[in-house]
Amino acid sequence: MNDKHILKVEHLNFYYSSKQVLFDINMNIEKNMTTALIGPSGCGKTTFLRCFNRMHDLYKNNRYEGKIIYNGENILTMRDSINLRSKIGMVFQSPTPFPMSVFDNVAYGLRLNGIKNKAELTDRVENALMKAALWDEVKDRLNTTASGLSGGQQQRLVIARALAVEPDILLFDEPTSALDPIATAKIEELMVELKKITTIIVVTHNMQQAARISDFTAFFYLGKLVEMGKTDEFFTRPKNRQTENYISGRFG
Amino acid sequence: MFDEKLDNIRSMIAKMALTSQKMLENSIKSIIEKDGYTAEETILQDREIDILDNEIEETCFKMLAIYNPRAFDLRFVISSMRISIDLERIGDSCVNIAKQVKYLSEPPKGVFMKNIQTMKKEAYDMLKDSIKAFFDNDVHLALTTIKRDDVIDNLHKEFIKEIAKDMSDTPKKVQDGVSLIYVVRNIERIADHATNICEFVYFKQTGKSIKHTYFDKVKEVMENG
Repeated sequence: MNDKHILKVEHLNFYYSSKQVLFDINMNIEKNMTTALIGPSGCGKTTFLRCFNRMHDLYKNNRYEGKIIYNGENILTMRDSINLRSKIGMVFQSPTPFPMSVFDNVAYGLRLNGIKNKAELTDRVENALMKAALWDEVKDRLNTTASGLSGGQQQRLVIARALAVEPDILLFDEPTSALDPIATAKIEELMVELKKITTIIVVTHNMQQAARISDFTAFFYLGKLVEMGKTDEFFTRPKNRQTENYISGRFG
Repeated sequence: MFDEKLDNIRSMIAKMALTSQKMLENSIKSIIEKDGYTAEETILQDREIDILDNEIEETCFKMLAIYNPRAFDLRFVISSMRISIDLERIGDSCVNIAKQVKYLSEPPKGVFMKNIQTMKKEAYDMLKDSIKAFFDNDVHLALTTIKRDDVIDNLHKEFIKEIAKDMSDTPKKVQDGVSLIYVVRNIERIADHATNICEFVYFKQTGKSIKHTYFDKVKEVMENG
């Protein structure tokens, strides 16, 4: 692991109860880069993504083996998973605004972290909304309910909420699959911008999206990492025959 | 459906290649025999090549837009578009050769006839092998064919010198000399297009470009892979 790697995955196995779904995954994630995880449904890419902020802890009998090293510590044995999730945030497939105002949605994580000063809250909410390219659209309706926003705006609000706590890494699980092409384009542009301040790992079924927004792409099949490489080479001259067949639409 | 379209492109390239080879044969035959009828036939055949070129371009364009091909499929579509352009230009060169028939006062004789036939044979073989390399996915054949372009270039230079000497010795042969220079120049261009085709075969198979590289580079690629 060198300075440019923010995460190092070593011999990761994952089990849903007795069923093993990830097999000996080894991977480095580069800082301030976007890594896309692709593969057919059920290949383990979302399961893998959820390991990074220990989302699997929410269910009994799930079990990890191996290591995910972040800041010199193994994520999988950290005690404080709440703090971990503020450093490694997650954006889901469907927008998940809380049933409260736009402002309170973004301030939620900040208040959870003990920030009560109104001026600081206001500054950080505004800053997060600007980074999420949503400020101009909501600055006059910060106190209205978030459910009144469009799907694309709601997804950017969720991104702003994650950004407010200044995460090192953002995990995106098919962030545009519920959005129309215009909203998708805005989210993609935003993701490219966000790389400057955070590291992104994104699961996507849309290979064109992976090709457009990521620097590295990893292909998963049956719970194993088949190939990972620089995105421009990955989509033009993959090394593995299975990767070639999958990205050419010949299986999966 | 996508695979059918790839087969369709292969089939159109095969047709273009066969027509261009036939046009090369006929254009040289028309010069050697000063045969206006064959020249006219060659000029008309160019229409077939132009139509196929348009069809390949349109098919590839739609495939890129609709199917977003990737990896080998993407390289196949891109190289097919480029190879189609080279085959179309080979057709144009054959037309340029055939058009010289009307300017020749007599068929080329002796060493001139022999030189034209030698150059044509080299260019024809390069064209045939470049197409074979495309259909057989044969990188080695593509690279060895590229190397043969030097043979044509040398023949071209030597032949031009001989024609120029003949023109200065016999001023009344200037018009024939100019036509022959035009003919050999176009044969040399056909070999260049065959070289381009081989470069795109290499790209199709490896994803790497060797465009605008010279013999040393080709030799290095052949030795080191």
